[in-house]
Amino acid sequence: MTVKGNYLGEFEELVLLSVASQTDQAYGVSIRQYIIDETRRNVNISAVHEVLKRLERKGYLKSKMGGATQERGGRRKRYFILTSSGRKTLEENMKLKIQLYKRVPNFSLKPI
Amino acid sequence: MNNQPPKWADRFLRWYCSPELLEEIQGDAHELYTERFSAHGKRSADLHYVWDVLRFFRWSNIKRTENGFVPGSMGALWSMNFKMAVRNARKNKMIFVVKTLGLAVCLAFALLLTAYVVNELTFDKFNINHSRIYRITSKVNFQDHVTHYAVTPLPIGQTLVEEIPEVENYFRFWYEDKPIFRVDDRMVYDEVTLAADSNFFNILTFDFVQGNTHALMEPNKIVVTESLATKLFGTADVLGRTLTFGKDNLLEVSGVIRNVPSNSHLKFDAAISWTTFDRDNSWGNVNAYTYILLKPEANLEIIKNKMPKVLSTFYDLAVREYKATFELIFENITDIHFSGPLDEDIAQKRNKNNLVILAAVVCLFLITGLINYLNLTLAELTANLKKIRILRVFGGLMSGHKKILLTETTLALLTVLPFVSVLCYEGLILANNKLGIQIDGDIFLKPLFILSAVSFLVLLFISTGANSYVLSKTGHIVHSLKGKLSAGGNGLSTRKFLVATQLSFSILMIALILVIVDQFNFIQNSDKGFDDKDIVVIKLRNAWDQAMRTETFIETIRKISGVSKVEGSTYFPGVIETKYVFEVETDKGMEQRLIPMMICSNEYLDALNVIMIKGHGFKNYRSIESPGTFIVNETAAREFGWKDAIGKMINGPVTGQGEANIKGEVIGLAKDFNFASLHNAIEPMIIIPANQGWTNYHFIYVKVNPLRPRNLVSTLEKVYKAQWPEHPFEWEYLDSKYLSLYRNDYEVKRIFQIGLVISILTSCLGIFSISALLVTLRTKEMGIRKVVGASSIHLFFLHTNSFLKSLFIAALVAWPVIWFLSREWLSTFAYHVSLNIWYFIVPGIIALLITGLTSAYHGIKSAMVNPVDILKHE
Repeated sequence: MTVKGNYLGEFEELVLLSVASQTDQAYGVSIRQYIIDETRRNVNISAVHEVLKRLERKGYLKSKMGGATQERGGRRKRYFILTSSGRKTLEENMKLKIQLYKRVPNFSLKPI
Repeated sequence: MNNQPPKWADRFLRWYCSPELLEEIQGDAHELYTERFSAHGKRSADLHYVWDVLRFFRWSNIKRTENGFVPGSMGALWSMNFKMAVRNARKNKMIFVVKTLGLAVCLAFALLLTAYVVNELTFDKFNINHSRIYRITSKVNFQDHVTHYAVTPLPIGQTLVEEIPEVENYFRFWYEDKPIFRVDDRMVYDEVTLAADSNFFNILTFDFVQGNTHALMEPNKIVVTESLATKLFGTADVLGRTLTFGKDNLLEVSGVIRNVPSNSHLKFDAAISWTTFDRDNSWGNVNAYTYILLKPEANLEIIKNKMPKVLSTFYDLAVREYKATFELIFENITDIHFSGPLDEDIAQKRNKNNLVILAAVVCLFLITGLINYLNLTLAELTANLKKIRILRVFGGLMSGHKKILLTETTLALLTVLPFVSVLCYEGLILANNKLGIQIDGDIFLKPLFILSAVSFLVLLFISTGANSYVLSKTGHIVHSLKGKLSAGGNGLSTRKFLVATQLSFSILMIALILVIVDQFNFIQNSDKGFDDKDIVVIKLRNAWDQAMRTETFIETIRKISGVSKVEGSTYFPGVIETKYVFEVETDKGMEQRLIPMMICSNEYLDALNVIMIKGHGFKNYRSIESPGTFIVNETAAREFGWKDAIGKMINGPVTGQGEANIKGEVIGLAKDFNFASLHNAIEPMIIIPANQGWTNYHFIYVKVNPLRPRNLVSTLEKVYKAQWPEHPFEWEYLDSKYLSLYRNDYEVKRIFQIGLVISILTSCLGIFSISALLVTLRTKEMGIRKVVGASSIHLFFLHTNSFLKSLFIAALVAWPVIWFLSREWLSTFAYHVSLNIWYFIVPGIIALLITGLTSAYHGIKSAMVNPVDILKHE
């Protein structure tokens, strides 16, 4: 995979974080709901699916099919779990951001 | 309660979504639906669901392949299909070459014709404001005779702009003919020149290479085209340089424009600023071409309604002074090219009928090429039927074979396209150089052209698809496996239908070309009323002592050996004629009429062999010295209602002051002679001998002996140069000039001749290869027939028979079309041949010969077959 593909986009990071925070219970609808709740952005389910697929291809997520549920008309859910490489990338990303942010002059935690 | 999402959206999702993703996507969508249903109600949930489904419709979710695995040659991989197509082409080299070649030639020819038609249809569309630009023309009703002039009174544009608020701007120009331009010792004299208002370039859109649209603001400025600049100065970088116009007027080049586009109704090489000239700006001066630009929101009807009020003083003046009523006609600039011919018009005109026929030919070619292609593909398929069906038994799908067909078409197109591009490009250049058809190269970038080209390709793909449909209908698998190959009768009859269509096109082409050639022979041999053989016409330009110089010139060349007669006239085919007011004697006394006039020397009519029906020419008229003799033509006599023309009174031409120049009587009645093309009906004409105050001939007609010295023309030039050293020597043979009036028709004729060759060639190819395939299909049958006792002749006819049947149907279809199209074309001529039965029979016979010959080869082959060779295998 190309180097470019291994960077995390903003929305990708968001989805990755929500999967990480919803241990074992993360699937399309729940991830979308989580992002909507936390960020107050309107997110379409298809966008979430797209990013999930991409993250899985990059190896940051793995997935398995769960059991059937009533409200889905008997259809199974696909649950997503963070892989170790996903966790590592996430951490590196955070570290990098904080490191860069600290270099900003007049660093303070108060909003400028 | 129904809490299910809309069914159609669900079905759509299931249709496009790849199966492995369907469950989770549908599940998530349904879950969201249930949630929204309880929160916001059904309507909102439905809407959101549909939106979600649409948003899921993206590349990564779409089903890729219908069948994951298809065995054998039905392979799902396109690259594999491509390989198959290449192999197929290699295997049947002959058929592939015939297929592609036919397609390429037909496609290229159709595209070229499309370019031509597009060029015609986009006339003047390059003007940015073309929808708002109108040309004003004047319809003059003079003594109940209506003449439609392209020219208008000079002050009209200014008046309209001042009086009608909806008219934004105007310009007018004056046709300067082809004056002489000089730079140092270089002389150019064959350039169409206009004297145009300063707004000319603001309203019309021409590309300036140098200078800008204000180039004609001041007097003594000239805007030239790039080609004229190069001719004059040797370079296009000429801004600010001066040239001499006419005798000694200096003009400064204030702008250089790109050459006028081929789809402009106005063709010119130079435009001089209007203010350079001092013109009589009165209402009586009806000589300028006027165009107006309307405001964007203006309504033409409102303007038309305002016209009578605004122009009332002018209309009154016209009635009072000239006893004529004027009507001004507005013509959108894009309509000028196709509108009928007007008097004193310099616009490039085309009859729309010609275009209809050309468009028909485009379709014809496209279809012929297409049919040829389809025919062969289908024939090949039929031959491969067994293979295909065995593959089907093993689980191959029809869709797989459709794919192969489409890849084969793609392959053929890939082979064809470079070929077509080269053919188109070369064809355009060839048309420009050899046929005199001017089309700019950027025609290929016009949206209309690209659209039609793309639709041709789409057509090709669709019909290939249709072909595979035909294939899928061809009976059961079991049948074909049992060896009943020709059980695919469906495919066979389709093929026969295609051959018939192709043949009918060939018949049509042959018939049309026959009609066209006949019409041209008719024109060339028809009695024009004068003899145009062996006449050299020399154009004269004005000089101050013209009369004297002309006389000396005529006297000198009379003595040259090989010259039999030298006469002068004001008339020449293709020259814009001016009508003059004459008073003629009728039953109701003297009436004023607008009649074209010709001034000529005494023996001019004899030199042209114009026949005098009554009276005599000017030659032997004794009282020639006393003014007052006229000759009229038959049409004029008919129009004036004269039973006996001799002795009738004519006064004229009447000047602006209302005085007649000559008063006299008619001494001769000339048989009608046609100086204009046969597209137009003959007009009435009054002929005046020259030595009655005019000696200014514009043309010297030199009748030369058929056996003349070869360098006669250069001798004439020497004499001419001695008289007019400052003027160029311009000459033409009368007969070739006369034929040049039919240039547009010649274009059509040449296009058809090329078209005929191509169409016959493709249908020959088609029949030939079809008959080859038919032979392969029926070899065994032929062998058995022979064993049972059929004679060779019988077998031969068996083979050719199927084609003859197609031919018969083809002829039946083609005949009405021939009738329609040729009538359409012939109706553009005022004098034309009439359709007769031979136009229908001869093409049929020719087509019969072609069919016979091309199918005979295989017919003989199959008739000569030795049954043992064929039947020994089984």
